Formats: sequence, C-alpha cells, structure tokens
Amino acid sequence: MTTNSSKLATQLAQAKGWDNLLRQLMLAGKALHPLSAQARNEHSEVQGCQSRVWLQLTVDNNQQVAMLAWSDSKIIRGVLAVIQEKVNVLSPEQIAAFDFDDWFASIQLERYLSQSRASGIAEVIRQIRHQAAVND
Amino acid sequence: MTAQTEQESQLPARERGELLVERVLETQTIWGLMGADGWVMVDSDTQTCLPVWPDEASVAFWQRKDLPDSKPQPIALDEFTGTWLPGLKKNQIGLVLFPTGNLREGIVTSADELLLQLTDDDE
Repeated sequence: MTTNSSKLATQLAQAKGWDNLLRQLMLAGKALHPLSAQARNEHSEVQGCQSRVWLQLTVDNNQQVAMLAWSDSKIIRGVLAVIQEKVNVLSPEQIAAFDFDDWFASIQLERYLSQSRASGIAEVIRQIRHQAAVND
Repeated sequence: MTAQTEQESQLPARERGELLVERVLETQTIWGLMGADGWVMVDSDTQTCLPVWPDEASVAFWQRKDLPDSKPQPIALDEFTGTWLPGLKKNQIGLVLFPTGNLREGIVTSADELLLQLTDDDE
C-alpha cells in the first residue's frame, strides 16, 4: 500500500532496472521542497559533495521536523527529495535512531551512500542528524 | 584531456550513465563518434548500439585503435531527442552510455528510455 508519506520511496523501491530507477529519481527531484536561493550560503552548504548540496533542517515546538534542501544535480535533488519525504515524518528522536543504511538499501539507493563519485549523501545524513539534535 | 575526465572514465558503468544524462541536460549537447563510413556503431550481445558520450574529452577513454580516422562529433540535444532517438527506435538500435576502456563497456539502454530521461526536464 502506498501512502502519501512514502510515495517517492515506494516508486523507487518498485523501479526495475537502472534506467527506470534513474527516471524515477529525476521525477522525484521535482517534488523537492527547495531551500530558497537566498538561503544557500556557506552555513547551509554540505561539505564533501561532488555536486553542491545545501541543507536546512528546523524543528518546531511540536517536534515537527522540516527539511529544505537543494542541489545543482538533478539526480541528487531526487535523492534529497526522498530523504526529505522520510525525515519530515520523523521526530528528532526517531531521526537519531533511524537506520538510513538499511532504508536506502530497501529503496535501491544504497549506492548513493557509498559511491565512488562521492556524492556526499552520507554527509547529508550526518548533517540531518546533527541539525535535528541541535535544533531540537 | 583532464584529470577529472580520466577519473570519470573509471567510474562504474551506472555512474557514468548518470553523469552522461546530467551533463547532456546541462550542456544541451551529446557526443558521438564519426568514422570514415559514418557514425560509429557497436554490436552488443543482442543488438546494434550507438555509443554516446557526455563530452568530447571522454571519448578519448574509449579504445578505438581499429578506428583510426574516427573523430568525436557533437549533436545538439534538440536534434538528438527530436530526430535521432525516434530514428534509432524505428531501426531497433540501442544506445550504450559513456562506454570506456578496452572492453568498451557502458550501460546499454533503449532510445525510448533515454528519451524519457533527457526530456523529463521542465526548466
């Protein structure tokens, strides 16, 4: 069953073959809630990414997490959109405990956590955990 | 021929395929190889394929000693998606994305699929 809170992830998990997965990822990128151009600065930029990535995560009084992100790369925007979909339904506590490796493997994206091109998604996850903890 | 291109040519096939799609969307240009008898095609296990690259420099990492007169040629993305891909589809010719090395390896895909990837762009 597909719920709205995991639509992008479900589409990826069901994608067959490299071509289809790539296309789903590029489509997912269109759903990304973007970090505004003004907010893309040295504070929000995630270091260590081959494609430039900016990330901002806020936590409101109700423990509601809101992640905004952007990348120059269309494919990485797709990866960020899928992460955003997940992170925005988790509390800071749940983010700290969430097994991103396992989840990435289940939606066929494990490669992005370790690929040689060093897309820096692992660094994005570290930043999410850090910001969820300090902004809580 | 830059160090970056050399590094890119050594990436796994899937990552080279992704790199090709992204760079072609960015530059609006895709590269093929023109030989003495026209565009160079290769035979994969099951079908004939057109090899394509993201830029001129990356073609150099494809072994082509048997094609001494061949030269990289740019194709505008508009022309590629509007004319080439429909033509390749009609003739049941596939594509091999950013093949490199002596084994000439690259992801093999269909004209239909590459068309979707290269036209999913709404910017």
